[in-house]
Amino acid sequence: MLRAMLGLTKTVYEDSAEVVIVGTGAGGATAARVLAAAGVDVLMLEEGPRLQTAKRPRAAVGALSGSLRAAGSQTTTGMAPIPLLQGLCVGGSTAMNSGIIWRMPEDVRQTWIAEHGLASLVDAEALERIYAVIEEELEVAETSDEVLGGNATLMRMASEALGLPGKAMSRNARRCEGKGECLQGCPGERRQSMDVSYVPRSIRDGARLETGCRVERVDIEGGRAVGVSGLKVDPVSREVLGRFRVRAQHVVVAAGVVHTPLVLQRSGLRGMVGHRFQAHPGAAIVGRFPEPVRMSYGATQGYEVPMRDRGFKLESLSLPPEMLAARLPGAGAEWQERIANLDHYAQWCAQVRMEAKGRITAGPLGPLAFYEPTERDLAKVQDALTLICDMMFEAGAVEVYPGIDGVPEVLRSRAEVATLREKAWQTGQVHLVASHLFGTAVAGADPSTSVVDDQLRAHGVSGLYVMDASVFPTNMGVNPQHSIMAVVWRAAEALAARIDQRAAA
Amino acid sequence: MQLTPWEKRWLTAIFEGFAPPASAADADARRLQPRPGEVDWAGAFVQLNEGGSPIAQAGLRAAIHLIGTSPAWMGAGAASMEGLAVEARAALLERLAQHPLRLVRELTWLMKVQASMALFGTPSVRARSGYDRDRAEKTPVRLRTKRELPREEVV
Ligand SMILES: Cc1cc2nc3c(=O)[nH]c(=O)nc-3n(C[C@H](O)[C@H](O)[C@H](O)COP(=O)(O)OP(=O)(O)OC[C@H]3O[C@@H](n4cnc5c(N)ncnc54)[C@H](O)[C@@H]3O)c2cc1C
Repeated sequence: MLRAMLGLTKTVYEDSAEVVIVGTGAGGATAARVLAAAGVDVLMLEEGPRLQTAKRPRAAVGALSGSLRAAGSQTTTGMAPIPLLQGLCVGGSTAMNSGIIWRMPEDVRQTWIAEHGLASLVDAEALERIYAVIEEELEVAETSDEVLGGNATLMRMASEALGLPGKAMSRNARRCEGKGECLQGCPGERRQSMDVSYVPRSIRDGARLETGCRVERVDIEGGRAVGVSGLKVDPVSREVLGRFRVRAQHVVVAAGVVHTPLVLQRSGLRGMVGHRFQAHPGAAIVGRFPEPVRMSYGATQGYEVPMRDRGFKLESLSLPPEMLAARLPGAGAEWQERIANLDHYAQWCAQVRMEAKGRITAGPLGPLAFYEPTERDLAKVQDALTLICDMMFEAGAVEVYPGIDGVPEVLRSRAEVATLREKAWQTGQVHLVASHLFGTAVAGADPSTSVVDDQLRAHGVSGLYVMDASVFPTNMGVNPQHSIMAVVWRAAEALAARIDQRAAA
Repeated sequence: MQLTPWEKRWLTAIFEGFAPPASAADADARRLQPRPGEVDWAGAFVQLNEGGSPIAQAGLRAAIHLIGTSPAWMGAGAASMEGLAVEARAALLERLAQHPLRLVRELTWLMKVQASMALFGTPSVRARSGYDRDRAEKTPVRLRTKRELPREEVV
């Protein structure tokens, strides 16, 4: 106790850099990649640990508690909390994501230009060039048949049988071995998450990385950002060791959608900070098949059915056995009977592009995320999940477990799926989870409706930038990491050019 | 997250309700039945949740108390889960999963997720599950792509 109190006053780490970057996820690591390559003196600060792939636990128990924010228990507020999954380690959420790669859809790009004044940020030619570089550097390729695995192959069969627009996913894992352990950290480092790609690359280009730095605020003097300060923590045990302070000419905040607005709020920024929080919440359906499916082999996620016109995207999603078993009905002998046949299950999920907009603010025990799906959003969830049930039977499932409160635990025919459509689903009936988060420090031309401009510079504070998914003024309906990296790349290039011009002057 | 000795006992009783241990006599009768004492239910629970948010930890503690005392308020003939035979615990958990109050259903489900994590987090149980077998054995023939099949099997 005394140690913790002393820790709050004692400064244990001081440093300086031309650019300090807060967070090493898709946004922060990409900013470091571009700036370090341009010869800028970069310091990356990361709250979590740098996990060694070989030492990361293979069981979900250790893997999740060691790499996810609040061990995966960070949720929205309200009676039907939605877990908001975010990484807390070097690489951020990319260190446990499935590596799915999508370029920003054209309709989203047009909306950003027309409604948010972001023509320069999402300039088509510039993005095209940047996507190509990222795709080359991060080994993006379509999932090959060899590593599709049973789970995704069944989904392909269902999609083809029903004439749906399915396809093998593009992922940043060209050399994937199909170990199905993306969540625990790719055992062979084949998936090019930030912890094995842009973070080490930036370090090779001269950037520095300091872990265990929980940034509390941006230090602002006379309307200009001059550095950051916060608590130095043990990155693994999270014990507070003392305070730290870093001086810098430019501060890039990339702490992710939930924590970026908190850092900005603590730094005195107001207005739209924390607003326009958006997501693609999702849920999954499990089916039992007569023959072995063997979910344990194949890309964690390998096949997808994009249904943009209906507002959702379906994906195959393989799980570690402990998470799969929890989805199976029953207790005691009945449950044990089901889990003794774990090889026979497939699981497919839906990511829903919701219209709901929420808000993130600081609460006494951590962030408060106010977010409620609308009736229309729930209708999309219902549409998506019932389609998955149909697909499962089409692929030959003998039992389907919807996992929806208030509907039968087990469906045994396609005719029974029709009953799921009879009544509109209510909040809380579905166990939603969100891992694609957006907004809270949105970009835009108008300072009264946005936090940063089209070069991701904070309105009203010079030397301060936000470079992560919080700058997204809308969600997208596709997996976000590629768009985050591309948009950040573009803004980081602009920053590098300004630094270069200043040095030349 | 610290548990009191009686919270640990309730937790163990609940988790064994989901996954009853095999008696010494029929230890291998079902592959995934844990042997008595094989799974450290309380230890795994603490490990999984020590980094959890204060709200999540409070919710989990509430679940242990609510489900632990459910035999009393569900009229199952005992004061706590510990007082029930293991089969009766499983039957009660099934009833709780269908309870009219959503809070009860949700907390029961939460306990099941935790039980599953603890069960498969035990290396000997996970090994028996056969989930992590070699690549060659993993893709069943019907789902294998033509390229992967030996020539004579390709139709
Ligand atoms: C399980 C999962 C699967 C996913 N799958 C995919 C996928 O297949 N494809 C895809 O496109 N997207 C996927 N996503 C989403 C994608 O990973 C994220 O959208 C993306 O990583 C967000 O980038 P970011 O930079 O905004 O935040 P993050 O990547 O979350 O990085 C934020 C970083 O900031 C650090 N940080 C936070 N607060 C502080 C602080 N105060 N001080 C210092 N550091 C701090 C965090 O520890 C973290 O490292 C997935 C996400 C999850 C969780």
